[in-house]
Amino acid sequence: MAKKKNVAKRTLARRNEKRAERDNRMPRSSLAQVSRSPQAFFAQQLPALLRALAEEPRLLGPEMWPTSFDEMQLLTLVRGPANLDDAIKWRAAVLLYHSARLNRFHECAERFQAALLTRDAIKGDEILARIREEFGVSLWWLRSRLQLAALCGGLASLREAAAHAEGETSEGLQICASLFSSKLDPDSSLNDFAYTVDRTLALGANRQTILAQKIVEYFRFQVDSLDLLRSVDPFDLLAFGSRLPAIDQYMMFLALAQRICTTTGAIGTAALRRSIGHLAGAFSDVRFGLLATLLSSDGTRTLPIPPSRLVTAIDGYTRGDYDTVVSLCLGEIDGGTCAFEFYELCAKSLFFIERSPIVLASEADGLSRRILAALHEVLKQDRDVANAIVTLEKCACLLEGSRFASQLNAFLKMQSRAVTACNSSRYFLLNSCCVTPRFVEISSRPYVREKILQDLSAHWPSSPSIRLFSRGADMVLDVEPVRSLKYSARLAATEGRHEDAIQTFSGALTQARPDTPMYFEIADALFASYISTNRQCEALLLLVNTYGRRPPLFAGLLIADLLRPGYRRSVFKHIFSRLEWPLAFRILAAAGEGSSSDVNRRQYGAYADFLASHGATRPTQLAYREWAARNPGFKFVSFLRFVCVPEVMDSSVAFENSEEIERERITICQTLLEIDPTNGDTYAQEIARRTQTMAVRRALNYLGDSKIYVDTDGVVRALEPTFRMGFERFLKMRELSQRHRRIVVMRSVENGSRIVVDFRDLAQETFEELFLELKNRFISSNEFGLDSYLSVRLRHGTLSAQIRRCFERDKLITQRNATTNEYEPNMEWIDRLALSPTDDKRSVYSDAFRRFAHAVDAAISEVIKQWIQIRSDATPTGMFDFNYRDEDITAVYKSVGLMKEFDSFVSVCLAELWKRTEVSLARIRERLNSELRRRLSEALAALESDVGPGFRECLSALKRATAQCRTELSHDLDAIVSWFRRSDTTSVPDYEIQQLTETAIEIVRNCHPQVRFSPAVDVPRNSRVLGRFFSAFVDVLFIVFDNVVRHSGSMEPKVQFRLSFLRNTVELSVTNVLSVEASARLTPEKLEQIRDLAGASSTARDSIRFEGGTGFVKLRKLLFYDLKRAEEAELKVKLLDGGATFQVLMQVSSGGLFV
Amino acid sequence: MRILVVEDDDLKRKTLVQFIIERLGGVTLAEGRSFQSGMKEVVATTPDLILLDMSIPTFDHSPVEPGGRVRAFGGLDFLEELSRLEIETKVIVVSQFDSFGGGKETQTLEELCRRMKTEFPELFCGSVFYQSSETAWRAALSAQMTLLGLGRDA
Repeated sequence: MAKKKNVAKRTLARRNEKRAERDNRMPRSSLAQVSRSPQAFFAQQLPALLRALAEEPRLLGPEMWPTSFDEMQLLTLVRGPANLDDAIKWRAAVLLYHSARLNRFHECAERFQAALLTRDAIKGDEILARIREEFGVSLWWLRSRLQLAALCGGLASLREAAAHAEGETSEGLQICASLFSSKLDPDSSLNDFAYTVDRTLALGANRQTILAQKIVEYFRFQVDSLDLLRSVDPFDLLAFGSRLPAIDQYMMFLALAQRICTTTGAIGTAALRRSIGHLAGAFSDVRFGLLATLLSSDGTRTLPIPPSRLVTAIDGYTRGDYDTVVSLCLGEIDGGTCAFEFYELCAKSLFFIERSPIVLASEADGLSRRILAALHEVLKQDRDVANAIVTLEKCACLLEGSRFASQLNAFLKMQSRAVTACNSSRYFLLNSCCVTPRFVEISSRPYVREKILQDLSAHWPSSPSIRLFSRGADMVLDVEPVRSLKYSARLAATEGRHEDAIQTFSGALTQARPDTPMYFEIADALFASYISTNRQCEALLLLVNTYGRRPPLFAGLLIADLLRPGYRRSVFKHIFSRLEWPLAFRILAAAGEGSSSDVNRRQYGAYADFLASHGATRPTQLAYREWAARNPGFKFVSFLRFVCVPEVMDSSVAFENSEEIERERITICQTLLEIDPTNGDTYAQEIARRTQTMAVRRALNYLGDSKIYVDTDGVVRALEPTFRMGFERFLKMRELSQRHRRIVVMRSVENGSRIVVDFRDLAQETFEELFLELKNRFISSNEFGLDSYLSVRLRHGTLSAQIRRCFERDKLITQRNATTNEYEPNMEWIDRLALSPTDDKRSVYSDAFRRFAHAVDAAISEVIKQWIQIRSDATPTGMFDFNYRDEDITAVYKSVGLMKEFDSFVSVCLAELWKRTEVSLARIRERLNSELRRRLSEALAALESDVGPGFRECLSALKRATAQCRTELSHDLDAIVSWFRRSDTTSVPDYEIQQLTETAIEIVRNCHPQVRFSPAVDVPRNSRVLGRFFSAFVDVLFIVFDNVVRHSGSMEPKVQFRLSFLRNTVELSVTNVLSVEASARLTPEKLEQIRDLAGASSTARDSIRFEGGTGFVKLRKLLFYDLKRAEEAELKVKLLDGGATFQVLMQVSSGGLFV
Repeated sequence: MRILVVEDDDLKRKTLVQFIIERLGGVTLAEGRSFQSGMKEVVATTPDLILLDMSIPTFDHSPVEPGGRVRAFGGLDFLEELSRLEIETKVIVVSQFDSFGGGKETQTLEELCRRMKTEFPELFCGSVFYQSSETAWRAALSAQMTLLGLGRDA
């Protein structure tokens, strides 16, 4: 049995050998093998693959050097290598096969990059033409064509070139051309481009398949090779791109190899290592050599050495010979060098000689100088850094496809600390122009580092830079001191001597100039050392002190990492008393790390910790002058300015209300005015704005307190002289004896003939006449009475708007159509709730919302038309009950007693009337609180129930809206209930006209939350209206503004309000544009009617106490009587601009109105 | 046993108070209508349990106080402050909304609960979705309170 098994084994082995021999045989069998067993073919080693290619070029497939775009094949979906290693080997074999030609291409491509950098359009054109002639077309060529057009010809040239390219037949090519041109559009940002890519590659319904998603990622990689934020799948990309032109396969392979080697934790497989090794030997492209150096397992790789001029520049920088460095580098840059290293050295050196790059005058200047200037701005790390980064990103796009662009792009990612899918600093180094001393940082393996430095030393034995990396600063003399400290510290850190590193870095930091890149490099390295040794507090302090004055993007991510949600607060306990603690959260907020609510929350915690550690509960409790003296510089100012803001402070229980917080903030701004006068304007503006807001809020409170009002002075004045005469008569009556005062009054006739009489007191009768006369005026005087004020300040629109506004804000309620008297359908909610335009539930929803609107308005109407009325025969349900029975009048008569003074008499009577008013007010408050609240709540509940089950998410949204409305309505009803108290206007201070205007505007906005009401206001500053005219003034403006909102026909009415003084008069003009419909409604008859209402004779009309079309009557009353202008007021309405503009013009005498 | 109800909706707050009285009887009840009044009560009396709304105003509304900043995630603010002050009071979030915030900052009640469990494991006990027109919330709140060892089931 065992013998049989052995025989079988030997037979199988022999069969496999023969198969292998067969597979390794040449030409025709290779093609056959690929089609029969591709996996086996591609599994061969690289030399075998290369041999197969050499003998059978047909293995390459379609033309790899297409002469026209028609011949290009962008996307391949045929079977190829089965795994990444095989795909890498195969691609390497293909590239090696074409290496001679690709090397020539590479030389041309480098010259093309130089032409772009020097903006030499002619040379660029020539090179591209030659490339096309010799190497055919490719995606690289297409993009370069567009880059040249964009750089040298501008947008028009770019679009011309893109249109030409988009006319090519292949759809894939059209997509690429379109996206290339979008990216190069000078007016388009990279965010716009990202959006365009997403939109273009959306794939619609097919996007859900895995294959579709992979194809999208493939195209994304082709059009945006600079995107280091997204991870890539190299295997898919190689597979899909296996039929690309040779040039594109070369570019793609390099980019993917770099991505593989810079992905965290990965360093590539043996297959990659060997392939790169072969390629480095065959290709002149330095990137292969750099990759090979990185991947070399024994460090024996021969390095691409730097040119002497670069070494001179590097050494000059190391020694501190900055002038020489700048001159040398500028020469290289202007000559079109593709070595980013020269740009970096030049930009950094400029900091030490305090010379900015030549300011680029216009777009006509070269790209190289633009890059240098922007690079310098980025390294400066001040407020222009964001713009500079954007400029450099666009420059990288203009050079995309080149090593320079990849290096520049990686540099930007490092500077902005972007979270990339690969290691940006390693990616940066892999795109260097050569191996410089800095390249040792690419590997943590000591023998690789040593080999690199040895090779460099062999070529440049006297280079201080190389020695610096080798031995630290100890044995290197001609090095700038701070730099030598920095390298010593780095060496210590690399060797794991972190405490030494920290000490040395700290020393270097104190000596380095704060405005230089080296300072930040040292700070970054020190930060890394602190983190390595778990010294989070020191790390945080360092970040804030280094970057606190800089744009937050530099420190934001690092701080976010230290303070990520769930961090242990106790770790930072002993820096709670340091300003850096709250400032760290300020940097987080400014960097946009986290949502605004999260940021405020965490900021508050740090702020409270800080204050508590100094025994304070409010910022103003800190002795700020001492603090400012002890903390010169930005920290204390930043703390007060950015941390001590209402959104942070309002979580502290040290404050009782919003106004206290506003006051605290105003005091803080006043402090800042003193200790930070440079930004005085900013603080002054903030103080003015907050003061205004507080004034408006107070004004609104005063207005709320003054709704229930009677102008008792006016009432009494209007009664003169007859009332006084009546009072005199009453006094005389009272002096008579009882017998003489007695009068007989017939009470009734009984049984047909029996007369029943009452005996009355004549004095009391006289009193009753006087009292009822006063009562009548108190209630019903058009100019001064209660009912008139109830109409102007409550019934005319204020009450209705206050109740409706929460429903309008959430769009639960619509308006009634003036023509049909039906409610407009609530399309906002119907469309959200209905499943489709033909959903038959739409009519159910429509009816539900109509019923709701009706229920709300019916409740409001009842309150206005029945409750807030004076009880009478016409309004029997009115809740202001001034019906006096005989015994009530007798009681009042007795309270007058033997009073002889007219004023006292009137006071007692008015007191009684106010007492009666307050009884009525109490009843109204109770009814509003109970019945109105209940009805509106029931209306909301009915709406929810009537709507029934709708589309689940939208029903949830409706429930949300109704729940929010309930809460807001409760607050609004509380406010309304508080209106029904007797007003006290004696304590109203004088107000600036600006503030009065803002108050009226605020009221209109509150009443009409869906309308964008922002009138242009032109009023004199520093003019103050006397406090006692405050309410009336606001009422005037409110009526006019409210009128505009209701009748202009626009949701964003264009309004202008102007107040001006002309000698002894003040003119108020409100002008608004009418919509076409509104203009059509304002017929000549209607205008005449309005004028009539506004006319002189209308004041006496009872219509003032009614609602609906009586605004101008009320306006006139306010101008004449409330502002006490009597006959010195004019009210006009006009149509201007051929009927397109409506104007209300008011002129009143200014005397006694203003301070 | 001290229980604090922090809720700005009057009807909901009264309903919760009534529920507690019915269920637990002799407890000391306190009410807060905003972040501030709730937090002041906590600092003054250190309740044993807080029934907390998620979205609350900063200050109590009144005719002269518009309420300050509306805190969509006021419940989180409250928990954070309890944690900072090292106050070990149990909290049950009772909300009538199932999502909070707006735009990119929108979070569902479920997401917030997961977050609160992670960030405040010693304080946060759970959440109850409240609907005035339904009674399921009663059983849910009862169950939460039973887990805390508070009184009989509803």
